[in-house]
Amino acid sequence: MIIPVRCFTCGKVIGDKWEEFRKATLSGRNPAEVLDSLGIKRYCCRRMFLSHIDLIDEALQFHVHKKEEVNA
Amino acid sequence: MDVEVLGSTNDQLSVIFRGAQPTFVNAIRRIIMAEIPIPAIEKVYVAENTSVLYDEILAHRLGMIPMRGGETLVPPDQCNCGGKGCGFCESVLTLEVEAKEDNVVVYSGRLKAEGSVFPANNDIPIVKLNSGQKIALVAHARLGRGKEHAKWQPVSACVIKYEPVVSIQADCDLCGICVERCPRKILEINENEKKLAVRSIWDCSLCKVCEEVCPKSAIKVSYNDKTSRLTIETTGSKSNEELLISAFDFLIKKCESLKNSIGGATNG
Amino acid sequence: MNRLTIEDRWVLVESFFKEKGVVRQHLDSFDDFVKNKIQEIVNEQGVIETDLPGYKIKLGKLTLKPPTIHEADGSEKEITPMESRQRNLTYASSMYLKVTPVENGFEEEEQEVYIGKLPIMVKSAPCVLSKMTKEELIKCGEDPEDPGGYFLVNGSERVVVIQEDLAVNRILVDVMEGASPVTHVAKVFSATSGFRVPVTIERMKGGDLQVSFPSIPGRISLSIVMRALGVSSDKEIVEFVSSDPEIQKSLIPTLEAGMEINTVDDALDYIGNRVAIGQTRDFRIQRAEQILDKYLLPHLGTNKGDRKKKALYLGQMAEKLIELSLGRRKPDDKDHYANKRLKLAGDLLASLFRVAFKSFCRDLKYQLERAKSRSRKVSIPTLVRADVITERMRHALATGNWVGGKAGVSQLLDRTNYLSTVGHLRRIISPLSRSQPHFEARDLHSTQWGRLCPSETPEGPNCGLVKNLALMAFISVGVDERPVEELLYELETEPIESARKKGLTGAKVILNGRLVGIHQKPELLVAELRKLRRRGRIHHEVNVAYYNYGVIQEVYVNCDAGRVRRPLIIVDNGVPRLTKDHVEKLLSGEWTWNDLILQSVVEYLDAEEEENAYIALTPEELTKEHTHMEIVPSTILGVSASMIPFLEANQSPRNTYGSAMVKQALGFYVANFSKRLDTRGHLLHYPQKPLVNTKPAKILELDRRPAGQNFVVAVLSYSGYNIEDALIMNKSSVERGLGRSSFFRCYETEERRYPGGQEDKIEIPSPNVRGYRTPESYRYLGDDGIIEPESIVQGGDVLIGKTSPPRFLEEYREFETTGPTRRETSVSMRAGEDGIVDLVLVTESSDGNKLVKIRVRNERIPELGDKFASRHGQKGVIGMLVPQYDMPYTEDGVVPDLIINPHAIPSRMTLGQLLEILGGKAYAVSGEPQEGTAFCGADENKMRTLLEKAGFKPTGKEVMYDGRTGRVLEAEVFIGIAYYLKLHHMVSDKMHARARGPVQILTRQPTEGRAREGGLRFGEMERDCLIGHGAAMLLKERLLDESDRTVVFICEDCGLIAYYDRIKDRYICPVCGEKAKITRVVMSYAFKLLLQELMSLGIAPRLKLAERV
Repeated sequence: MIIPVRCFTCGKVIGDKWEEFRKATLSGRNPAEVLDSLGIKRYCCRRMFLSHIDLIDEALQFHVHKKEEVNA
Repeated sequence: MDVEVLGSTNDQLSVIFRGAQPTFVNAIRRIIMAEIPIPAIEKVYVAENTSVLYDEILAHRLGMIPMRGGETLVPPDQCNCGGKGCGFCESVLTLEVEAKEDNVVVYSGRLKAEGSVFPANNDIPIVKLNSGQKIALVAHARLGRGKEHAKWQPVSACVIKYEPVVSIQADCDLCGICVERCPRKILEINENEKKLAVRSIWDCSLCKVCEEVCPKSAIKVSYNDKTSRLTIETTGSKSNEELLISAFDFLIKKCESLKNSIGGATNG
Repeated sequence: MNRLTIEDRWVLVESFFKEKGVVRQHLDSFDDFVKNKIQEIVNEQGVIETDLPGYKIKLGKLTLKPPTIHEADGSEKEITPMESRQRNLTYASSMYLKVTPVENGFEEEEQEVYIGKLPIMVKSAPCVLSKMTKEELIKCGEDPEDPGGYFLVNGSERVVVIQEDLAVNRILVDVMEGASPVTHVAKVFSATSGFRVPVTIERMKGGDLQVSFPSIPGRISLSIVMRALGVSSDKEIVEFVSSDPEIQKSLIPTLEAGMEINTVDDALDYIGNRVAIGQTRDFRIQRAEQILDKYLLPHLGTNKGDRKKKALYLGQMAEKLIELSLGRRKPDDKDHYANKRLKLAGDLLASLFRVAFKSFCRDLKYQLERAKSRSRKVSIPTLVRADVITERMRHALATGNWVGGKAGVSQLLDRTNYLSTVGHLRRIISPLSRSQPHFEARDLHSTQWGRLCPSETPEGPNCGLVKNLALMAFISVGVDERPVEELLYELETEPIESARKKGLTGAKVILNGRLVGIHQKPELLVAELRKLRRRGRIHHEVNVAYYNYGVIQEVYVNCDAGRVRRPLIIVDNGVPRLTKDHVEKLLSGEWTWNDLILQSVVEYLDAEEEENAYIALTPEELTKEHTHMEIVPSTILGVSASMIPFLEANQSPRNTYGSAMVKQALGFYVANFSKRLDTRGHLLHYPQKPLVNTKPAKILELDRRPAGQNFVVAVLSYSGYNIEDALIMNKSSVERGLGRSSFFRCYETEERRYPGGQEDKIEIPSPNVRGYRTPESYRYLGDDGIIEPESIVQGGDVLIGKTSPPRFLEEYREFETTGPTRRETSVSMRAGEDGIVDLVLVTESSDGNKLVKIRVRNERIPELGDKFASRHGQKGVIGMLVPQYDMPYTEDGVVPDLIINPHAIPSRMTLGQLLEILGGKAYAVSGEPQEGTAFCGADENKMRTLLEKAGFKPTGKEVMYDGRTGRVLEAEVFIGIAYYLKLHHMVSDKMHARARGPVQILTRQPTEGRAREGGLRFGEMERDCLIGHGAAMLLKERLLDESDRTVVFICEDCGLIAYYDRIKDRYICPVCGEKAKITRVVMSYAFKLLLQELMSLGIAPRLKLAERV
C-alpha cells in the first residue's frame, strides 16, 4: 500500500527515503546507485525499495470519504 | 579487556573489544536491543479517520516512527499509576490533517508534541489523503523495551563480528587467484616484499573463497574469538554512544542485583 | 538482419495481451451469443403456432437495451455493475422482441414486446463498462484492472466455467476389447442447435455392420437403415460407402443381413416395427420416417430431402470402420485435442436461452389461446409473461444447475487475489465423472502443448479433469462453413455424390467432420487453402490438416467453434516471417497483434493442423523443414504456473502444488475493495511485487495486484522448531508489519414484506420480543437498529437488530391475550469471531425493501500456526516466532525473516526456490533485476558474479552468528530473498476447543464442527486406548455419565419402555398397565432413540432385565 515506516527485517527507518528513491529512479538513475547514496546498504532494506508499489494511489481513488457519496 | 572505538560513520558506531569473550560482547548487544528503554507511541485515540488506511494500520505506522525525548518519563512499570498510563509515564502527541486537495502526504513532522516526546524523523510518510479526507488523532507515547515490541528496539542492526585471521603459508607462489576472487578484495600482492598481504582484515567476511580457490592450499582463514567488533546502528531515538553506555550501566546494575541476591541468599 | 532475441518475441506476447486481455474468449463468446446466436434461436422458432384456427404469431428481431433494473416504484433505471454488487441486483438487460400477429393470413401491425431480462457479462459489448476509459471506470467504482468475463446475479459474481466436450459431428472409431460380440465401433455425436444424439455403427464378430441410435431400441443392420433412407439397391449402398473394392467386399456380410428386406418401404416398416409394434403398416412407415428425419444425424438436417446426406454420412462411418478393421488406420485418439471442443459462456448461455425461449413460447401460446377464447381482441404485451425467461436464466446462473442436468456450471468467482480471479476465468472443466479412474483422460496429452497448462491442475479426484488454458491459447468462435465448402469445390474438389458415381478414388475432403468430396491432389489443395488463408481470402479461423496413412488420405478442414488454437510464427524455408522491423512497429504502437495476423506473420493453429506443422522452439534451431516457430516456449504454461520463477528447475509435481497455492495467497485483490462487500475478503497490508519476477506476471499486470512479500530466507535448522515443514519467523519483522492482513466479513439482512401486510422491522428489539437476547447484545446499535461504524464487536454481538412477524399467526391466539408477539431475527457476529465494524451500507433491494449490509474487519497478525508458502509448492506453518535479538545474523546485521529447514529441499528437489533465493539476493545487492521466467530466466552464473561483485560469497552462503550466544555458527548459511505468500488458512479461523456446549436435539449428542461450537470426537481408537489401559470407570464416565446419559423406565414384564405419570404418581407401562413391575434403567440417549426408532418400524425391542452383578 504505502511504503512501510521501517525495514521489516532489521528495523531501519526507510519511509523517509522512499520519495527520494522514487524520484531518482523515475528520472532514470540506477536504483542500486540511489540506494547506495541513501545509505541503504543491507539487502533486507534494499528489497523494501525495489519491491514496493504505491498501491495506496489506486485505492485512494475509490475510497468513500464524503457523506454524499455514501448516500448516492 | 581492551576497547578500541573505531568511530562512527553513517549512524553506525563500531567498537573493538580485545580479550573479551564473544558471549560477553553479545550480552552488551542483546541489552542494547532488548533492554534500553526508549519512547514510542503505544496508544492512539482516533477521533476521525477517513483515509484509506484503517485505524489499526495507522496506529501501527505511528508506533513504528522513532521518537526522541522522553527523558523525564517514568517507566510504566515503576509509575504510580500502575502502568495504566498517566501524565507521568505518557507523553501526548496530536495529529490533525484535513486534505484540501488530492494526494496530500501526511509526514511524521505533522505530529504535534504536547509533551516531551517528539518524532526523531520528520520525513516519514504516515498516510496519503485525497481531498476531503481527514485524520484527527491523539497519540500517547511511553517508554518501553525492545523485548516488549520491536518498536522499542533502539537499533536496527546491532552485530558482533569476530576478528578474522588470514594466515598465508610459505608455499604461496603468488599466483594471485585469491586476490582476484576475494569478494571483499582484501588481499594484495606486496610487490616489494614479494608477499601476499592482507589489506584490511576487518573487511574479511570469513567467506573462505580464497581457501577454496587456492591451488596450493596456501591460505587459511579462521577467526580469533577473543577479539570482536560490535557495530551499533541506531534508529534515531538515542545516539549510539548513549546506547552503549546505557548498556554497560544496565549490565552493571544487573550484576549488582545478582550479587545482592546471592549475598542475600548466603547471609540468610 | 539481426537474429530475433527472446525479448523481441516477448513483445508479441505483450501485444497479444494488450489487445485481448486475459478473458477475451469469454467476452468474444458472449458477444457472439448476443450478436448472432440469440437471434438465430428466435428464428429457429420463427412463429408461434396456436391451436386457434388461422391465428399465429410471427417472431421478428430481438433487441437488447442497456442493463437496467426495474425498481419497486415501477421505474426502469440503468445500473452499473458496482450498483448491482452493492444492492444484490442482477446485472441484466431487457430484451424486446418484434412480433407480428397473423390472423387468417392477414398480418397485423408489428409490435415490440418486453420478453424478459438477459444477464449481461461484465465488460462484454452490451455492458456499459466496455466503452469506458480508465477514469470513467474509476468513477463507476470499478477497478480498471478487473478482467470482467463474469455475470452478476443477485449481487454475486458468477463465472460460467469453460466446459470441455468431445467434438461433435466427428466420426471416432475405436477397437472394442474383451468378449463383447462387437469388434469395432464408429461413433458420432450429432449435434445441432440444442440437440445432441449419438449414432453408432458397430462391426459384429461376423463382419456385419449394425447401426444403433437412441429412440430405436436395439441394433439395425446398416443395409436396412441405408435402404430406409432411400438407397434401395445393394450396388448403391456399396457405392455410398466406398469406391475401394476391398472395402466393398467387406460389406458382403452386411448386405446379407439385410437381404430379406428389399424395398425402401420394407426397410421403413422394419424400423417402424421396432417402435410402433402392432400398428398398421402405414403408420409404422410414417413413424420410421419421422424418426429417421428427426433423430438420426440431425446435424445434417431434419427434412425428407436430407436423407441422401445421412446415407452418405453413414456410408462414411462404415468406410472408416471397415478401414479400421482392415488395419488400414489406427483407432482414433479420443484424448487428442483435435477431438475436443470447449464450450464457453456464449454456447452454454445459448443452450439455456433456447430452453427458456421454448418454454416462453409455450407459455405465450397457452396465454393466447386462453385470452382468445374469452375475447376477440388480444393485446400481446399484456399476455407476455416476461419472468419465464428472466427467472430461468437467473436461476441457472445463480445455482449452476444448467439444462441437461449439469451442475456446477456457474461458480462464485474466486476473489482471493487477482491471480485466482484470472485463473478461475480460464479454468476448463471436463464433464467426465470424477469417481471413475479415466486414466487416459486425466493424462497430459502431447496435443495439449501450448493449449492447456501442463502443471496447473488440482490434486485428488479432479486431477486432470479440471484444466487451465495456457497463456496464448485462444478459442475459435466459429465461422460460417458455406463459403468454405464452396471454395473447396472451386479448388477442384469433386462433390462426394458425383465422385461416388464416378467411382473416384483420392483424398477425402472432410469439412467439420462431414465428407464433402474427393480431391486428387490433396497436398496441393492444402497448400492452396493455407495460401488463401494467409492472403486473407478465407477467414483466419479456418484450419486445414492433411493426413496420409498410405492408402488413406484425408484432408480435414475445420471452421467450427470451440477449437483451442494457438498462435505461431510462420516460417518459410527456415526464415521466420517475424522480423526486427515488426517488433519495432509493435513497440512503437504502429502495429497491434491483429496486424500480425492480417499480415500473416503469425497464424493460429488448432490441434489438427498442428499435426502437419514442424515447429521450432527457438530461431537457433530453425531448419528448412520447419514450418512454424514457437513465439515463446514459456507460453505453454497457464497463468498460475507462469508465476513460478525458474519453474524448469523444479521437480514437476512441485509446480502443480505451487500453482495451486498461488491461488490461495492473500494480497491486493482489487483496488476498489473499499466499495465491495464480499462475504469474505482478505487484504494484505504491505504487498510487494516479487523481486524475482517472471515476464508473464508483468504482462498480466500482476505486479500491480501483488499477493505476497519478499522475505529474507535462511536455510537453517536453528532450534528445531522448523522440523516437518514448520517455519521459524522473525517476531520483530512481524511486529514491523510483515505478513499483516485484514480479514473482511460481510453480514446482511433485508427488511422483508410478508403476505398479509406484515413486515420485518430493523430496530432495537424490545424486551418482550420472542427470543430477546440480553440488553448487552444490543449495546452498539444506533437508534435505527444498525450498529455504528468502528464499533469493536465480538462473537454474538448484534450488528443489525431486526424483528419479524410471528411465523404462524394462529398459533398464539388461543393462549395469549396480548396477541402474537414478534420474533427476534437480528443478525449477529459469528461465534468466535471478532473485529471492527468497517462499513455500514443501507440501501434498497430490487423489491424496494430496505437492505442493510455490514462489513466487519479484523486485523490478522501472523501467529503460531499461520500458513505460508513460497511459489515452489513449499508450504509450512509458523512453528516459532523468534525476536530479532535471538535470530542468527550476518556481520552486516541482516537477520532472516524466515528460517526454513534444510530437510525441505533434497527430497522435493525444488531447485527453483534456491535459484530464486540466490536471484533475489543478487537483485537486492546489485540493483540489477533478475528474472525467473520459465525456460529463459536469469543465468545462475550471472547471479553469482553479481553477488561476488557486491562482496558476497557467490554461493549465496554467509557466515552467521547465533543471536542467543554470540558465537559463530559452525556452518555457513544459505541466505537470500524469496517471495513468500501468506495463505488464507489461518489458525484464528480454525482454532477450536470446547468443554461443554450445545447438543443436537434429536440425539442429545454434542454438535459437530467449529461453526456450531461442536465437540471433538472421542473416537473408536481413543476408546480402545482407554480400554487398553483398563480404565473402565473413566470410559463409562466420559462416554455415558458425562455424555448423553438418560434414565428410562422399563417394564420388566414386557421389556418395553414405560413412563412415570407425575399427576397420579404412578409408573405405567403402556402395554401391561399400572400393575407391571417397572424399573429405572440408565442408558445412552442414543440407545433410547434406537429403541424408539425400531418401534416406529413396527419392531418391538424388548429389554430383558436382570439383577446387576
